[in-house]
Amino acid sequence: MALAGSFHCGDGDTTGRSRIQFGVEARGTRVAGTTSLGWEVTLSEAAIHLGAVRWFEGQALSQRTLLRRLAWGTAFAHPGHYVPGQALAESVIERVIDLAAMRATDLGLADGVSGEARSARLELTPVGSDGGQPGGLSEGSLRLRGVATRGDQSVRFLATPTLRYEVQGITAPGTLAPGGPRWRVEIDPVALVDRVDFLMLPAGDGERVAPPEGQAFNALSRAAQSAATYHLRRLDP
Amino acid sequence: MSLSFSRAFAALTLVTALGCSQDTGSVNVTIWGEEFIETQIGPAQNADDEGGFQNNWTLTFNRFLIHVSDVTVNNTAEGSAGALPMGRVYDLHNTRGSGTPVGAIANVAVGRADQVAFRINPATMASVAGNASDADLGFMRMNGYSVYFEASATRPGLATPITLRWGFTAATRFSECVGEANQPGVVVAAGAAAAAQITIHGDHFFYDSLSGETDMNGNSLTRLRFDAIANADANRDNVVTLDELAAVDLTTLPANQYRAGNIPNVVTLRDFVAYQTRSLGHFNGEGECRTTPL
Repeated sequence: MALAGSFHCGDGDTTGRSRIQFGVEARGTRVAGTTSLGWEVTLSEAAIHLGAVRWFEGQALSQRTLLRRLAWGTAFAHPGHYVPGQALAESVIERVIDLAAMRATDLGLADGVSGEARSARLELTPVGSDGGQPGGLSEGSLRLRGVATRGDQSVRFLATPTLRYEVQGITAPGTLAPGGPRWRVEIDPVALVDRVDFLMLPAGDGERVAPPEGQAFNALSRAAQSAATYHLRRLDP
Repeated sequence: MSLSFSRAFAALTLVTALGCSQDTGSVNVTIWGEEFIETQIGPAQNADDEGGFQNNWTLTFNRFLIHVSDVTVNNTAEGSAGALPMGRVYDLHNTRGSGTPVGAIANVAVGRADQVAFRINPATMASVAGNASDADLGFMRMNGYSVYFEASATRPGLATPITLRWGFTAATRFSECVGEANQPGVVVAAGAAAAAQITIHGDHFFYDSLSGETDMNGNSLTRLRFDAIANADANRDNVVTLDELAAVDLTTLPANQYRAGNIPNVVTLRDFVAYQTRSLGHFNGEGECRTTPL
């Protein structure tokens, strides 16, 4: 998706917007926590492959619906509550983020126009053929390895789902202006396993690997596709 | 002199009266559930068709009760406002091809009444019947429902239709409603009545997305589905209850269906359909409103 055409700017810009460029980085927010199913999770490996990040003026949760009229004239509406609005900026560098490292990974520069950002979209794609990536991610879009404990039950797990999805409606509040600060994509890796029932992983004496079908894969996919897993923050001095 | 004065006074009174009538109009408020609630929701024509059920399901509402209150119309530029505060219960299955009256708001300033709002909220003992029967009014009052419907769904080869009897107590305010041309509110002409229709989109209960995601090419991923609901019938009595939906964790459904997007705390199928009560209310057909949980 090329956004440049929708910025409505350039040498002859009449929108009052200024061209801007700012740095972008990404990092994980934690490697341990308790899930909503009561599992105490500690991640030893957590990596995700991010594609393009795009900023928009629309509210992340605007509570408006997207509408269309069918050919035969019956009115109906999507239940969706996210309307992205004007595109403002994008960073198109693809990179693996080592979420367990708890330090920022540079995503290069985003280009766009000035405005008030409220939401963002973020692409999840499989890692390319340039394997040997940080966080042990050499295939798929996501790699999570760790230990989950609930009561006297302890499960060592590994999950490496492959996803192609654009997460929409991520909270991203802040002004985009010339000379503005960097932005950070914050990702909560514990939220990714929040609805995983680790007892439903295939039994084994050692590490249990999440198969490409099943509850764990499903829960991981849903969490990875949920805007609530991500947050974009302007790094004001 | 006296006669002339009387005539002059009468003329002045008439002019004044005409002036008043030319400065205001009224807004006739109606409510409609469209053909989907009046008649049925049919099967989709193909996998990309968003206007019908996937997998050949057809659903018919037999009863669709809704409680609406606090209808307000406001011309903010003129500082003119009117309201229909009374809560009323309607059965949107018992309308035929058009809206049923909610009421008229008089003396609204001429021009754009840019703020139209209403609530779908639980019925109380103060609520009255719109077009609903006294029995339906009592039912909604007793249960404190904002929305209640009964429906049956079937598909080819199914011996017994699936029955739904679902009641919801969520309270939602729909405000800043815009019309189909994406213009706020309604235009009120002098001495005329503008139409403001609260349009209820009952099909939303069966959408499989809460946030209207699109794919990377901008194509909608939302579909109307019933399979997961039918499969929730744990006791196989052909009646699917909200409690049975509550036993269905979304992670047991296909990962590309029933996505909650950025809506928190939606983990079961019951959570999912209950949240859809937030998206039922629209304005003048396809117009949108901002929604606020109350």
